[in-house]
Amino acid sequence: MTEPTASPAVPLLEAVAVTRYFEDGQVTALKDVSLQIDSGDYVALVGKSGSGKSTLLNLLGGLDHPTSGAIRYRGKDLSEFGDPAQFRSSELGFVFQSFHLISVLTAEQNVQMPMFESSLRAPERRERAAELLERVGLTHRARHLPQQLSVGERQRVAIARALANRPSLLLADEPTGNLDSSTAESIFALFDSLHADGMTLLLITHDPLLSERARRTWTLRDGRLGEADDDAKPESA
Amino acid sequence: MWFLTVIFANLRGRPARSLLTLSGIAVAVAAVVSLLGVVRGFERSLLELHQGRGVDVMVQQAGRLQMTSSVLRESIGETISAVNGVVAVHPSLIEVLSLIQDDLMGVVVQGWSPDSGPVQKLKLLDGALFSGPEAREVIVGQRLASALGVAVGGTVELLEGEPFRVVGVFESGNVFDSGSMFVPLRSLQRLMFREGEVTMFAVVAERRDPESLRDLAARIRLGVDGKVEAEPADDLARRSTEIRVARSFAWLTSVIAVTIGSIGMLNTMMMAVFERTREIAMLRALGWRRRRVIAMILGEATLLSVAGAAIGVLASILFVRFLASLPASGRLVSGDLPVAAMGQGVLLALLLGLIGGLYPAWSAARLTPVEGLRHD
Ligand SMILES: Nc1ncnc2c1ncn2[C@@H]1O[C@H](COP(=O)(O)OP(=O)(O)OP(=O)(O)O)[C@@H](O)[C@H]1O
Ligand SMILES: [Mg+2]
Repeated sequence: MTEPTASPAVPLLEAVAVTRYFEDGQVTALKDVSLQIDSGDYVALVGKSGSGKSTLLNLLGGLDHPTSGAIRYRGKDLSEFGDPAQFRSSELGFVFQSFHLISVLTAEQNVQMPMFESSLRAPERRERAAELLERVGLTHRARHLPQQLSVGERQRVAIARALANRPSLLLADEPTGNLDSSTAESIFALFDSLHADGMTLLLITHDPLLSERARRTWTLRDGRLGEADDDAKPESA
Repeated sequence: MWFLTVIFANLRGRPARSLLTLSGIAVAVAAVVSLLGVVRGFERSLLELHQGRGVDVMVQQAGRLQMTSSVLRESIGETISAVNGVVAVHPSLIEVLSLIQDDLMGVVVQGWSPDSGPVQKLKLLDGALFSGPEAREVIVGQRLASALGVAVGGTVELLEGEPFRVVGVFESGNVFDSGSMFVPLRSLQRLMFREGEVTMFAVVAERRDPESLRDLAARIRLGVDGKVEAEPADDLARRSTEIRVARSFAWLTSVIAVTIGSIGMLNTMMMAVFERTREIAMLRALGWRRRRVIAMILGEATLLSVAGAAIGVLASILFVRFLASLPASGRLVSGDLPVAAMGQGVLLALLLGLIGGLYPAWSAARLTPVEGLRHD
């Protein structure tokens, strides 16, 4: 995983004056958003429903293209990456609100899915999946199908899957939106420990408990970004 | 985990649909393989028919579509014998009689002179050859004998009130032969009021290479004033109307089977893609390239096809064996399938998988991850 740097010359990921319209300009989802994420950051993105959080996350993750403005990864414009899929595969991990596990595959097999785009061979894939399941505390559940797991366990599997190809940045869109508060708490703890290991995280959340745990909080209002940066917080770990 | 495991799990995870698609393909393959197989068997039988009798060139009336409707004067035989390169000429009268009730095909009755090559070459399983040129006797092919339920010593009524005695039963690897009967030429001519008439002449040639046979056929045509058609037996068999009709029928059926099969496959794979829109979008978000999505969907279609092909070929082998064992169809169908027909069936199934899987695979790959993830 990437070493956090005190004041990096080039940010890990940056948005420059990004605007995104939908429906031929009738819907303004994002307006002139600029931001930077550095290696080792732990950012919570909050805002009311419809404020543009998912739109921003999708743009940052190369799933969507801005109407104007630029997204840069380590200083390089995302449009310069030949295949955005390849960029996502090697650099990013995604976690979704509704897990999106494949119902016919076991936990261990779900975790292996992104690895088909890596250079790992079958035995190495299995080994790596076992490591990851151990990391999220689910070794004993490796051979279970998603419907045999609790919702909290499913999200852990999804997080393990997001880490499959050793990404440098984890993007999560309301990862605890479908979980009760105590289950959500254990997922927060997992994110904390990933951060402690050096992972960079950007999480969309409605949950004030999670936004409090993050090092920085960004708030979107009608597509505009206002940073409620909390640099005063002591760096843990 | 192998990529194949994913493909397999996706199919196994929707067992009802996978099995239905698989059986659709199996039926299409079985239909095509059985039909092509039977037609091929037909063709082979017709070709071998003449080879087995040592007949090289066939002479029949010019301009007749079907051999059985050809009529020639028996006396032409002498003119043919005089042609250079002819070793022997055997006249034959062929009638198709309805001996079995409700039989659509009729039974082929071949009149040959008892001392002719084709009669002398019969492989008798039981009984003996004809006692004389005008004997009211028949020698019955094995398959026909079992269809008619007769044996040596029994009688067969060729026409009502015209009993002929069964003196022999012969064996032939050829379904046509084995489903027919031999009668002395004179007796058949008398019975049918066709004295002096024959259907064709079977010519035995001195030189048997295709080139010489075509030359000989041309000389015979000239020698008899162009009123006859003379052709090497192999060419004739290959061109016969029966074979051409059967062949085009088989192809027509195949086209229908391909159409129905690929629509079934298209439907299944389209459903599979539609149902899994979010799943596929998620895989794309996790870094799967388009071509991997295509590989997964096409892989599923191909796996279904291959399994369907295996079952279909197996079913057609059993089906054709079954047809051959029935008295009614056994006279026409030899029980084994040519490998080529099976190969064509497998090819067909792969084609079905490709046609039915390509569009769904393409539309799955085209999906942008954001659209797919918003799909609920
Ligand atoms: N593909 C699209 N087509 C049209 N409008 C869209 C599209 N995607 C987003 N929008 C609109 O853009 C705005 C921002 O949407 P977005 O999904 O980013 O909000 P959000 O902050 O994630 O909301 P929530 O908390 O409900 O998930 C909304 O008004 C939404 O309707
Ligand atoms: Mg959202």
